[in-house]
Amino acid sequence: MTTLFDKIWAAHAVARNEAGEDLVYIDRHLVQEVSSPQAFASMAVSGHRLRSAARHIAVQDHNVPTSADRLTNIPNSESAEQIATLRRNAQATGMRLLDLDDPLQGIVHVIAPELGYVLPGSTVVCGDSHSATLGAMGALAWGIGTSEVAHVMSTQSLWMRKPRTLGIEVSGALGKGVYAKDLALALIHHVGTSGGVGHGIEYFGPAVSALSMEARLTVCNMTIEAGSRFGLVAPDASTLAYLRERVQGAAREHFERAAQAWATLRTDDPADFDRRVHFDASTVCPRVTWGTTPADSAAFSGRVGDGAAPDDAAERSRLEKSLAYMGLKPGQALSSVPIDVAFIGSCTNGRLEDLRAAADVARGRRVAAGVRALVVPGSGSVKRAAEAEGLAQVFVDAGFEWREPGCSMCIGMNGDSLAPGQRCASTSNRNFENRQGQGGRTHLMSPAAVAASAVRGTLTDPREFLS
Amino acid sequence: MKTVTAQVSGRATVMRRDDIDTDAIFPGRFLRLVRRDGMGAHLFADWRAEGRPEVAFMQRPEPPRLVVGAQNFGCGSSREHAVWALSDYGVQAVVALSFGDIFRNNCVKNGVVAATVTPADHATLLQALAAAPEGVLHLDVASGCLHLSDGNRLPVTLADGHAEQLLSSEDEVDRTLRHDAALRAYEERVRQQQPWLASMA
Repeated sequence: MTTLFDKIWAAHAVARNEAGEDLVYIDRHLVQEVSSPQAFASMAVSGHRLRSAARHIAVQDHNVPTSADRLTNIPNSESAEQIATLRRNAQATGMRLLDLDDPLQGIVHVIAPELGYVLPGSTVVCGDSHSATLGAMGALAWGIGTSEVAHVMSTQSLWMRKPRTLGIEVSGALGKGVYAKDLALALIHHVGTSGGVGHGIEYFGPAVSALSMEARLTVCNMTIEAGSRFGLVAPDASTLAYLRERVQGAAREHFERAAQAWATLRTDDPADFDRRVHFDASTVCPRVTWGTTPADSAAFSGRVGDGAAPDDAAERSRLEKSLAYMGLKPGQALSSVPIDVAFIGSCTNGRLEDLRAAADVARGRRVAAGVRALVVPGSGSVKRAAEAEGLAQVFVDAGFEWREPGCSMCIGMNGDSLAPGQRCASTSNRNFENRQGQGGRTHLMSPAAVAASAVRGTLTDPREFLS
Repeated sequence: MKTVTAQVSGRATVMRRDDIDTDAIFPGRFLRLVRRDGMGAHLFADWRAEGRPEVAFMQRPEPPRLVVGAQNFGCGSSREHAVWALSDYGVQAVVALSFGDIFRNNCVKNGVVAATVTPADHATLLQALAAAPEGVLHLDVASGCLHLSDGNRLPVTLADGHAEQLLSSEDEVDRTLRHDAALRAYEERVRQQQPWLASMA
């Protein structure tokens, strides 16, 4: 009797050292331009070579402009050099690259499932902390640093101590106007920013089974914000239906046999988890963050500081600093807070369903005067699909900018960023100080909530616009 | 040959705040750089520009060798630049109540000690540093012991395998490739039993 996490781990642990670390085989590695240059460079110095080019795929996403003229105009010379560096490294090693002009280019965690690249029961890593996103496919997927990127490229493996397992059971059902992002924010609020440290998290229960694959990707994406590197959902009929349409090559050829094997990929008994948390999805309201960690969130009907229970001087001091940074006062009504910018996109909420939910709110309405609103599709595929079904036009008609795919204002390193003091309603994953630009103030929420806030001009519960 | 870190000795600075994330340690706009040297110039760049009390310690010309953090130090982004910046600036060890898991791993890969202490020992450490802010601490990796300037000793915990990595002079990739047969056996087993996984093409 064991957990899904332990089953996948055991299938990939090929050796153990004296310290109790396992050598874990890595089936797939995703490479991006920001965390890889120093890995390629260190390999060149040490003389280590890429072990198996076919197990790696590279994409330009973090540092790419999202402007229409980006193929001919990258204003920042350091950005241009970084993008050119990945191009050179991919060419030199024979690694497939989805470059800036590739129709499939997009945010690494959006394109990997789209391309059928992430299979249940596999191990997938990327030099990016939001790699847990891909655990939604029933894979062990986690974020690594640049030294580990070099190790994976050189050996196709990593030394790791198996983490403990945390089972998060979500019962009930999400109400109308309540989305996967709200569930993720509620869960992080519940377990805390370090509640998952040292653990691999599996999400299960009726409310998880009811989530679409794209919604599961959103929940798993935010796992790192609770301190865990791994978020996992067992594969089921939804997973198979999603993959059947997307897998390529050997996985397409052997799909039926694979599907049989994947049927065994589940936790035998919830009692097998080292720790368990239960959560009722029906209690979740649309949520918004008011502080500077993703755990600092409340319902839109709530007030700044709701849910904070400072139990010591250090936490009180942290909250004071957070609110000073955010320009908010304790007890202030969240729904009265005006915004300057609205951002829809990122690996958390840049997929087609996210854009549909936001468009449902934006349709026939106008962005409030003085608010800059952007939609940045997660990938070229998402962008084309949204244009084909008329979503892009809905956004443009409402006064949103419709941009090219990339990480954009989630990380603020490619020209899309907040000015000091600007307040942003954002579908991204981190409300850290200075994250979206020096002095920028971030409120995390669902895509529908960002659209509602853009239209109203203040932080707004999307249900006010949903019939 | 990689560098061995067996001991860290020197002055410590205290960062009491929980959840000091790697965006704060190394702001995102500097991630455009493709080199890894000289990153200390960008350490806590935004907090320094704002004149934040958390980083007042950086106004002194000589860096502390140790940082004493609180909960969840180094959470958030996987950017190894955060560790390159700390190390380039002169910090050789971080002692905290807990760490972001990826940051902790990134530390050991760069010869920086990331050690946890219990809440009780953390309180003792803060008291000792309040009494003697200029006192020299001595952290011994092999014994997992932090010697305070007042003669007290506190046990510290390194993640499993980290002491071995810090004390080893062997390149990690070379060490791993000694297991090449096991890696090849996995690849062969997958080729036969899980052909869908063997190839992306």
